[in-house]
Amino acid sequence: MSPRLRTALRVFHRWIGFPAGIFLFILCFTGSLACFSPEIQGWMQPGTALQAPLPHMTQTGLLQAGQQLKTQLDRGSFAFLKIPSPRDPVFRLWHYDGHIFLGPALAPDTGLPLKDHDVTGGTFFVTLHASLHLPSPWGQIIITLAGIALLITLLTGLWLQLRRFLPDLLLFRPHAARQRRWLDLHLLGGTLCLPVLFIIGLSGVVLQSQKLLHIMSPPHHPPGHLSRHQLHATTVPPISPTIITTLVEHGMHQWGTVADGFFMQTGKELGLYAPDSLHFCLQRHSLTATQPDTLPPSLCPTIHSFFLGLHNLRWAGLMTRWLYCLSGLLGCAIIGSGMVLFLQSERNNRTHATNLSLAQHSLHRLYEAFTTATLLGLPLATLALFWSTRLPTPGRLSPVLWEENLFFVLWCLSLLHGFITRQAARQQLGLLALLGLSTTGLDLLTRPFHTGRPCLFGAMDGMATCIGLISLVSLFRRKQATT
Amino acid sequence: MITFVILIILWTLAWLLHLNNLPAYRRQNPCHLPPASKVQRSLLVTIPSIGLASAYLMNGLDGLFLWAFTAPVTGILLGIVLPLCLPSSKAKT
Repeated sequence: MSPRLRTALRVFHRWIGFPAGIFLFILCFTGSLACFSPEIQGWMQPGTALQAPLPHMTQTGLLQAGQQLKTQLDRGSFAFLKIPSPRDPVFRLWHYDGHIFLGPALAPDTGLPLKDHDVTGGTFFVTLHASLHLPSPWGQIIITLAGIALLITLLTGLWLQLRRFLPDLLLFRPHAARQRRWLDLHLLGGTLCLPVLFIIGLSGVVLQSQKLLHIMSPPHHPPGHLSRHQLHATTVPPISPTIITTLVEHGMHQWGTVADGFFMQTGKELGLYAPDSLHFCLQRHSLTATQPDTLPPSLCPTIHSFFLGLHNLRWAGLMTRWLYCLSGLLGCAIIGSGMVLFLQSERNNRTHATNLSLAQHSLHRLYEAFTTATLLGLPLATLALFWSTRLPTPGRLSPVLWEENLFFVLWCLSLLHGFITRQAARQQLGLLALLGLSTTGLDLLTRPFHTGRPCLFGAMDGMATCIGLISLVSLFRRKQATT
Repeated sequence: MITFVILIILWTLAWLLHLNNLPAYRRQNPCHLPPASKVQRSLLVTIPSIGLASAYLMNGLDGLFLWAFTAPVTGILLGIVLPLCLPSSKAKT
């Protein structure tokens, strides 16, 4: 490779990678959390965790929950009823508020509401991953551009490393100089995760581009066509115990299970939708009273459903989902190490320069503040959001509004903190360590000790503790480096 | 779970064989396998293929994804842990 080409590739890799890295870190982090959206919902609402042994869905529970759905639909709320599953063993009578899914949890055996307040829940991270909580189409545009930048950065990185790809595949030198260590970590993760990251990035870009195309040229409907919500406003579907029981029986017969499926208005009738985990390609089959049999499923009806299956992995088993989540976190580590390397090289350039203008100083401060807010501010705001769901809401604020505002305000404060002081990273690391390490204590204090889902709480607390420990170790290493 | 454990073992073996194929000055590896030979090189190609086939037979599509995700995880863990087992004087910096 000629030195000119190498320089050009490095410039591309660094200057596309750093700004896109801010969004890509957010996408990788929230994507990892979105893998366990129902579990996060369960952690945030410990009142819905039930006592051991977990009760199963009963006929009484199903009919009572169906009655509650009818009441909601009669009131004019476009609600749907999610059927209990091993991942979320309660009925969820949810509606979409434009950002997240909200609504009461109902006991699987009685169908009566369980005592717990609404929380932002796991769907908050799903929306953050899908649209960054920005109005359409801005969220989709930013994510598509960030995804394309990821693909370019991966390809330029691969090209730069091509000659040493195989010999340096597992090379990490923990005793080398600081910058060398970060570069080794970046290359180790980047080369080994390259295929996985490329597939995740490509599928994400395809999905977001399809959304954008759909927004830019919406499908044409014949005159008089009503959308699902418009239809709901004009007609409420008939819901009776016979319809519900028949639909569940047909669902069990055709799909083998209805766990994780849901009841929702489809046309002028009530439909039972198949669980998302049924096939690799996402297919929304629904059974209704007039059409109790679905067509034999095709392998993958559309390209969109194939990429949804590839990107969301809703069909996957627990271990695969854990590893997928871990791959997302490894993506965070690669992007994070890349951002740190960018800062270090900018710092080196600055020390070699003789005269630096105020604008150049401010620009460097800007890079540092954005890196701090991305790498530390986002996990900090996430942990604070988790804490806020377990602590009382101040004043008469709605809990959901309070939790969402706390998340975004803390994140913005982290950025502001980065601008104000050079010690921001150290102080935020300390706070992150404190919050992460004490999450288990908070969890044990604010939920019944004996619950039907000890693994869920243990895993979530364990993850928070890991974040706390990593922050603590980084904090000590930073202190050692400065003394 | 069984598939996962099998895949971890197979990928660990594959990465160790890969490290063993490298010249000594590039190797950050305290595990001393016999010197690289033709058998080792053919094993390096065979082991991931065996892993892929067995993962598919045991877990279907889920197994294929498990195979793909286990490779970087074991590689990164080995890459970080192995040099830490070497005394700092022996490690190449």
